[in-house]
Amino acid sequence: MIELRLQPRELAFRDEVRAFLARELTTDLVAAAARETGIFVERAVSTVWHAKLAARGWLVPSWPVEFGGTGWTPVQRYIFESECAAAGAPGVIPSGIGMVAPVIIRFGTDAQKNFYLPRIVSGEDYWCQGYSEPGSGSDLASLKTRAVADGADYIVDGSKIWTTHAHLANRIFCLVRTSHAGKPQQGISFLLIDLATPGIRIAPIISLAGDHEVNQIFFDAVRVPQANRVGAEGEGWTCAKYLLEFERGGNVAAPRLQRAVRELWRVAGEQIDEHGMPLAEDPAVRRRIAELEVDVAALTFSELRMVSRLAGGSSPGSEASVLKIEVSELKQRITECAVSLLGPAALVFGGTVVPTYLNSRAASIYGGSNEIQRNLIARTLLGL
Amino acid sequence: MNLTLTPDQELIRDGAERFAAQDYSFAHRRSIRNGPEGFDAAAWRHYARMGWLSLGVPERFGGLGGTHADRLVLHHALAGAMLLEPLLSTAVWAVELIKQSATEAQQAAHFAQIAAGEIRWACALLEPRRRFELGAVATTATPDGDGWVISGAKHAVLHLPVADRILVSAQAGGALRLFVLPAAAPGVVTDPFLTVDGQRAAHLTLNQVRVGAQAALGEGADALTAIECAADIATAALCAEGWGTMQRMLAITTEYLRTRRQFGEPLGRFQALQHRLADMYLAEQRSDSAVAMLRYGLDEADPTQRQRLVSAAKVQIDKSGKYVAQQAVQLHGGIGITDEYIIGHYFKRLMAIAAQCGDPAYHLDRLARLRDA
Repeated sequence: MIELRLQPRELAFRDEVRAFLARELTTDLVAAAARETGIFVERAVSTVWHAKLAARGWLVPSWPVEFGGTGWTPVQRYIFESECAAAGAPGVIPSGIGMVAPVIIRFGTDAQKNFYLPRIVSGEDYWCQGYSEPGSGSDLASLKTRAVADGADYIVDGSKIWTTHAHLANRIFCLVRTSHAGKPQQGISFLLIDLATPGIRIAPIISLAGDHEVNQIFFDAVRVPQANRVGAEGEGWTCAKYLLEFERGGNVAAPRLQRAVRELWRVAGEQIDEHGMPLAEDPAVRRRIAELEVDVAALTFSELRMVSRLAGGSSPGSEASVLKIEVSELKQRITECAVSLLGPAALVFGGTVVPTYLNSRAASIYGGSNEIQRNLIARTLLGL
Repeated sequence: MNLTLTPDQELIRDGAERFAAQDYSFAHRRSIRNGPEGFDAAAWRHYARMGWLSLGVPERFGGLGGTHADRLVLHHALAGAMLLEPLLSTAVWAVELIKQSATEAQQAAHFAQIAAGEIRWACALLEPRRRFELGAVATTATPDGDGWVISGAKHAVLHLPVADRILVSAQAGGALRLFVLPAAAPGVVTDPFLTVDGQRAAHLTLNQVRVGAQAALGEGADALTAIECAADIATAALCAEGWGTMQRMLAITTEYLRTRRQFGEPLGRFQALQHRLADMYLAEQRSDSAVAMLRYGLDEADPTQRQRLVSAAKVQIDKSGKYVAQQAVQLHGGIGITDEYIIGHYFKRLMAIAAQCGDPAYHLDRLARLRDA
């Protein structure tokens, strides 16, 4: 495995992270994280873990320091993620911290920042994402959920789908249509909605893995204050795209994938092939896993390049599409390898490997399908 | 952490890119390839003047004392030119082998000549049918008076026909050692050939070649560790060049898709081709990251870590390089398969890089082995 060469200062920071993990990351939390097969960890688990990170001041490292960010260097950020992954810590739920927060910070009013940001850190608010609709998947700008002005409010009607953890969340950020004039992108606004508002109904959607993680949400004459709009009316598409950059490129995934590859070696060492040898000694298996390591190593440095850019105050930009594709497809290849190492045990509808593989199929679809990402790369990065 | 270039590295890059763009055109390269000598003596003198030959030579021997990362920057920046001179053989392979194994006096003598551009080197380490195994050496060096007699065969020695001196690995009384031979020494028999990418090379037979005591580098220690280290540094330089080659191919292919019109519109309007180009870009970006990893980690890596970094990078470059090269030719259509157009030459350069210093299977096996250890 590729390890970063660390300066003394960075080694001291790593020890600080390790001490924190030794103290706060209980065996219960590690066991719960290990059982997790979905895209997000269970809310009961993340609530505990978020609170511990928040108490240490490490929940929102990439936010500006004035709102609770840590001001870490890219390497510190990477050390932190690596140590958390190596220790088996649960992932952090991104929808508040890594998705709506950057939009509020960039486009929100002071009142919105002061109200919403502390509630994300404290865990009081748990967000979900209202982007896709039954008729608007890859063609997101065709969305039809409408918000009609009524005094100081909007009246929202329509439906959102694939809403991860909507049944656990108390708030949703939504793209809604406030105008039909001009290009489809021009009539979209970005609204923050309290899920306790009358007229909202949430229906579960069960995934291939048998899990209830995503939902469809129905809005029936839901009254939302116009003060909950982020950015100007009709300029929600700018917020939407900005948020997507963070959804696609704002995370650090390589350390967890590295851990998943280590797990492949472990499993391959336990399985015996038809020659009576451990699978881990089969040259074809060895090369397959080693090749995954090679791609995780490249991803590590692709993410470090991105983290360096974010630390310089930039948003992820179009390069986020590159990371979105790389992370999702690598995750799928790793989980596919894990299933093949199981052999006949892959018949069992249960455990962690099979559901993780099944759920990973969503990774190349959510956040803008990988085909959309390739369109974006061709258009924005290659100028076709 | 700094993934960007140092000011010194920016100077190296700018000088090399300028040379590649202005002084070593594709037409010039073609005339060298087709000429009798197979290299450009004036260009070689320029490399000496620019310090490229002594970039890796320690300062105490009059070199520039550059880091490994500096040389990666140089080889990356020169990629567009596909140089035919033995820069890699001399300034990376020979310099590293000498640095890792020779005595101080030997280093002083050889490095002075290398820095001055007086001597071109070829390194003869691999043997027939033993693929990439640097330790599989049957060539022998037998004591003879106060010198040695060397016999054996070496396979596919790059730049041998244009070299003045040959570095040869041989079994010498239980240790693997390195010997310096004049290319014109009696008993040196070469079977020259043109490499797939237009470079001069030869298979080598050594029939009782007599050399003096000074020909043996070092004082008797086994040289396998030194050879493996030199090979890793050379492999890293090839990786940097391979990434640069991919960037050139991507840029040329992108421009082609923007301008070539079929069915009444530019090829770049077709989604199937857009996605192909996007996948080429992803492969190029992975290579960028692999070389960034080398620049960041190679200089201070311990031997195990160095091997890991280099093997991971070489697998990435070969895999991505094959994809980028094949698709670049495909997207160009007919013009892509001609000798006249540059894209096919970059294709063959990446093929040659893949055939050197270990292929993906070799490096994946090494990565898996390092993990067991």
